[in-house]
Amino acid sequence: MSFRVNTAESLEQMVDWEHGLITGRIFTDDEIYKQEAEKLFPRAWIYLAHEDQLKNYGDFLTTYIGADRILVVRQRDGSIKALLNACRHRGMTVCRADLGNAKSFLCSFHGWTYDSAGNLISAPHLDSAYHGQLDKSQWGLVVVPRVETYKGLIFGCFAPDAPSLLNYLGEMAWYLDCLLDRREGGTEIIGGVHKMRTRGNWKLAAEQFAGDNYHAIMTHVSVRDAWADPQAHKAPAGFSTVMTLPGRQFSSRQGHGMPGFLLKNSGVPSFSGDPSISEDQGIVADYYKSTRNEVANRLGADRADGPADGAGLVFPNFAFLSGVLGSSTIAVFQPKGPHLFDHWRWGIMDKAAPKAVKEAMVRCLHVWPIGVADADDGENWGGIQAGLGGPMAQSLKLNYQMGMGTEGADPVYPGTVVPNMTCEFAQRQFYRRWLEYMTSESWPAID
Amino acid sequence: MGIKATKVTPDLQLEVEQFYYHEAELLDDHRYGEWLDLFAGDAHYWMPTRANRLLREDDQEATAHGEFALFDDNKKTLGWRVKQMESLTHWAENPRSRTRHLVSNVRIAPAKSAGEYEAKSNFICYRNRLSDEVDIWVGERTDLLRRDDEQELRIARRKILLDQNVVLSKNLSVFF
Repeated sequence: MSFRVNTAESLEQMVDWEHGLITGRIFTDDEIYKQEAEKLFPRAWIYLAHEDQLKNYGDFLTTYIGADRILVVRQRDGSIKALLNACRHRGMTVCRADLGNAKSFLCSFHGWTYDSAGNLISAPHLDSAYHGQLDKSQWGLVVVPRVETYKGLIFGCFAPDAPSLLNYLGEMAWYLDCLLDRREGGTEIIGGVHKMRTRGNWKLAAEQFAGDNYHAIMTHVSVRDAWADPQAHKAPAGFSTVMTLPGRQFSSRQGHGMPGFLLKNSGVPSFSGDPSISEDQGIVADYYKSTRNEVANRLGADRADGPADGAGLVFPNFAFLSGVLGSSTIAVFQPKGPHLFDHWRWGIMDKAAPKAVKEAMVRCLHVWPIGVADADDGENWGGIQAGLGGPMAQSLKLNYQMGMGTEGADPVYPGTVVPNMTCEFAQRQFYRRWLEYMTSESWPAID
Repeated sequence: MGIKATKVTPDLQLEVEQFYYHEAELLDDHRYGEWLDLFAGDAHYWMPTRANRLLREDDQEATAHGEFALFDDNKKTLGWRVKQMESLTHWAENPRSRTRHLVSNVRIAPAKSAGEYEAKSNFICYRNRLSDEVDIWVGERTDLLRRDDEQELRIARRKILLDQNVVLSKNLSVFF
C-alpha cells in the first residue's frame, strides 16, 4: 500500500466514521485544535466539579472549559455558579488558587473585586478616576449561562441552545447511576487531585475511555507481572482473559460510551476487587457483595449485576473508572494545545461506605489504577503523538474498524449496545459526534 | 525539625549521606530489588499532591494522609512497582529511561526512639527518555531512618514533596 501526503481533506473526509477510518491529522493540527476550542468545548456540557468539593458558601474550585479558565463557587443560597475566571478590566486571572473558600475575589492587577456570584462590587478610585461613570452592574464576571448537576456531578455549558444536562446525558445517566447512586447519600471525593501533563492529544484519552478495552491486553500487561505471586508461581488472570468473558459495550449518539463491562449475572465473579491480589481488594470486593441487594433495590438487578464495573466517557472529556479492582476514579482531560493535555483524576466513593472500606479503597487507588496502570497509558499516548509527527503519518487513515456492524439494541441495556467486551463502535460514535460539533453552526441537535 | 548541627556527629552525617548516595546509585543503575531492600518491613512511602491555595489556607497546600497522593505505598505495594519496573512489558520503562538522582542538603536529627533518625534531604532527579524527552523533578524527602538488627540503616518512612502542582511529566515511572 502506498501513501502520500494529503493536507486537502475536509473534516468529513478525515472522520469517515461509517467506514471506521480516521485521518491522523485530527490529533496534530493546530487549526483543528482551535476549532475544537471554539466549536466543541464551549457548546458541550463540560464537567466542572463534584458538589462534595463545594460544601459551604464561598467554597470555590478553578477548572477549565476547554481553553477557558472557570471559577466554580458555592453561593449563599446553596446554588452553584460558574464564572469565566478573567477580570473584565484587563482579563487577569481573578482567582489563582486551585480551591479554597472566599467570599469575594480581588483582582491582583488593579483591585476590581467581585462577589461570589461574579458581580463587580468595588474598584479603586470609582469617583476620582472613573468620575462615577463605571456602571458596576455591567461589568461583572461572565457567568457560564448553563450550570446543572447530575447526582453530584456539576457540568457547565456556554451554549444557550444546548439541551438540558439530563437530555444530553441521555442513556448514559442510567449507567452513571451505577457509580453515583449505589447508596443513599451518593458519592464523595477524596481530598486532592492528580494533575499530570501528558504528551498527546486529549482525544487519545477520551476515545480510550469511550470505547477502547482492547488496549488493556497489551498496554497494561505489566500489571499482571506486578501482581504475580512468586510463592504461588502464578500470575493473576490478566486482562486478556477478561476481554473474552461475556460483556457489553455501550455507546450513545451523544458520543458517550463505556468500552466494555462484564455481565455478573452470567456467573462471572465481580471485577470490583480480587482478594488474591491484596487484602484491601478483598475488603472492597466484600463491600460490593454486601451492598449488592441494596443497590438492586435502588437501581434494579440489571444495574446491580451489570455495568457497575467499568470505564466510561461522558462526551467529550469527562471519564470514569468505576468499581474496578478496588477503587473508582473520575477524570477530566484538559486540552493544552494539540500535542498536550492535562490528565486530572480524583478518587470517588460511596458516602455511606464504612470508614475501613473507604481506607481500603484509597490504598487500592494508589496502587491501581494510578500506580501500576497509568504510567503505560502515558507512554503510549506520547508514542502515538510522536508517531504522528510527520505529514506522511498524519495522512494515514487509522483503522477504527473493529466489530463493524455488530452494534444494535439490547433488551436490558439502553443505548446502542455491542454484545462483546471489545469493540470500536463506541469510538466510531465518539468521532461521529465530534464531527457534528466541529461542522455545525448551531448546536448539533440529533434527529 | 529544628535541627541543631551540634547534635549530629560527623560520622553520622557521613554515614547518612553515603547511604543516600548508595541509594541513588541503585536507582540510577536500575537495581530496584536492592533498592527495595533498603526499606524496613513496615515502611511507608508517600508523595502527597500539592495545590495552589490562598496564602491564609497554605497549611492545606499538600494533601494529608488518607487523601489523594502520587505515591502511598507500603513495602508490599512498593514491591509490586519494583516487579513492574523489572517486567519486560512495562512500556514506560522499555526502553529504559536514563535517570540521575542528585541528593543534597542532608539534615539529620535524632528521632524519638534510639537508633532512629529523622533525615531531610533535597533531590533533583533528571530523566532523559527515548530521543529527546527530558523531565526534571525537584523536591524534598523527609525520612525516618532506623537501624536494623545488623545496625544497617533502613528507611522506615519517607515523605516526598515534589515541587510541582501539575506534574509536568507524562508519568512517574521513577522512584525518589
